[in-house]
Amino acid sequence: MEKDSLRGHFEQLLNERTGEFKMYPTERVWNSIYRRLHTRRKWHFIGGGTFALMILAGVFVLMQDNPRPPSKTFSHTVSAIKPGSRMLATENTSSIHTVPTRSNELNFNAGELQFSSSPLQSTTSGEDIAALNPVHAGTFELPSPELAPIIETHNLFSLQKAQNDPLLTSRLESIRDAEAALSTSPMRVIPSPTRYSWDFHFEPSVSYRTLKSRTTITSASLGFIVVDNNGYDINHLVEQRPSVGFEVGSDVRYALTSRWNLKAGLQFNYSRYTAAAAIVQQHTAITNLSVGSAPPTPVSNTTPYANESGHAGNMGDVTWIPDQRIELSVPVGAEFEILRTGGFSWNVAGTFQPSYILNAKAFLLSSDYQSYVQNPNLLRTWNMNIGAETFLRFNRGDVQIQVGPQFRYQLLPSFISSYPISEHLYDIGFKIGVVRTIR
Amino acid sequence: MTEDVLLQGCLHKDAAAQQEFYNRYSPKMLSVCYRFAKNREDAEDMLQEGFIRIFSQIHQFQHKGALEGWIRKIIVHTCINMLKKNKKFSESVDIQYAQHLSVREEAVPAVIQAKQVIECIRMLPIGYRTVLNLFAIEGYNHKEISEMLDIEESTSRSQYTRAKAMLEDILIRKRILLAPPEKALHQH
Repeated sequence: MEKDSLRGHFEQLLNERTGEFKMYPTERVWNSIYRRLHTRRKWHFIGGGTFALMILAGVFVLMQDNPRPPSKTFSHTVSAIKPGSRMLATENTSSIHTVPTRSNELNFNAGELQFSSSPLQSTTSGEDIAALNPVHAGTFELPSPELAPIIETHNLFSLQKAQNDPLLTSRLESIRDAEAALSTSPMRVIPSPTRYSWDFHFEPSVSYRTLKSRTTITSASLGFIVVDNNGYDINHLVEQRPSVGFEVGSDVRYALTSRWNLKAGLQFNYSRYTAAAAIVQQHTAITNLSVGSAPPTPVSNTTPYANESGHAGNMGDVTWIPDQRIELSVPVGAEFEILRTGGFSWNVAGTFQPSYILNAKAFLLSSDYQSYVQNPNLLRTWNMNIGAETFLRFNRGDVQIQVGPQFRYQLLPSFISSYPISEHLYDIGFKIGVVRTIR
Repeated sequence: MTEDVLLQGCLHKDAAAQQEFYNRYSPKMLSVCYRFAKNREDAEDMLQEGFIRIFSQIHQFQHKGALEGWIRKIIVHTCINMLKKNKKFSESVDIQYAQHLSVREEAVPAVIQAKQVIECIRMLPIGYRTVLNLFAIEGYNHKEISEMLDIEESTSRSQYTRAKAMLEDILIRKRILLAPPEKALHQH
């Protein structure tokens, strides 16, 4: 840079006096920078989570839309079909039931004429009566007596040929017309329950944490006097309060047996707690990170927050600094029905919950336990939680309502393994859920 | 952590290295922004934008000069761009007030407190302050300043002369700068 001739003593003095001056930015600045630099990675996970949620929702909608459970498809060879009426006559001759709807189409398939149907119920005069399985009833019959022998004597190839035959084509069309006519029957069709169900749940919860130091805490390492008869338990060096958070999510369940259910889903967690801190002048606090026997790496952060409980004297104005996490979890687990009586049952459930932190505001204790600092880099983005719950489930017609307490514990420490203090969060909540069988 | 290790970490987008880098240079850079900005909040916005540019352009640092100088250059340019964006230069300047002041090179104080000086600089109208910051403290010449601010070189010179006089007067009034003998006599 070319210096102008005008630059003299005054400029030099200004430069010297102001050039080295330091001001400490607030935490907001680094947090904003961090978010802007690392949002792409976060959005990948959010996008992935949303995509997974959409897939789950899509599967759910498809399963709701298709009343035919995959495990209950009946295939019949052509020879099983006999000529006769299209009506199903039950043993109870007082009622006549139709084989309903779109699921019982005639499908020409590899070497066989396939007929698919759910074990369905049809209603006559408001009364539900189980329909007979077409094969077992033995009375599912084609409308045209002359078509059956033709089909009976031909394999797939002859069937395909038959489709090209104008006479046979018109017959097959008449079958389809008859099917369509049946599908518009005013009779109400109620599918039978399947093994799948889904639930939606919401839990107000309170969150708290427990701390454990991986290094030995001695009075020398503290650098201040601890007036505490409880010894050097790190939990006594902080003052904290639980705060209210919540969880909301949805699961798909599969009934293994009448008592055991497997479940998997997506869950959104918001948990928080507060810690007492004194507001002091901006200062630099050191956090030592250590891996194995290697010498610790100091990381410096500026902060205006002192850990009041970590100091012997009164530090100044006390404030409660909020610590909060927003997570997306994938709970996978099982439920067991302990007791069933009348309209309700008593259950217990447990889940493993791999979790990804979408957003967090976390304060760490500095290595001398005297300051609270914010350092998002030291936060573990992936974690594993476990959940345990017990609940009562009440039958309310099509849906079941469940209520009961739940406990959630974070298995891995909140911060990376080189940070010497392990923090484990836990939530205690009250779960309210709605369960509905997928038909 | 050495400067090279920090740079390598930042090149690999390592968040811990980026934070250490930020912690090391942000206090000085915030004071730079503060001299240009209207208030502390604006200064922090400038600092934030500046560091995002630094991290995204860090591969362009060629080790030809001091890293701090390179960082400072980006921060200053960010401040100027943000001022331009907010049309801060359109604010009126009290030229008449400045014109009767003369430059007195001999008026050098024994001790000047940095913070007080910065506060006095911040009392100048934004146009004067920007030119003074760029010329007297950041070391840009008038040609460079004219290009940065899209003004004539002569305008930069005259703005600087007036800014300097005005600042000197403020410093004297605040008793940070010793008044020259003739002015001290006149005041008595």
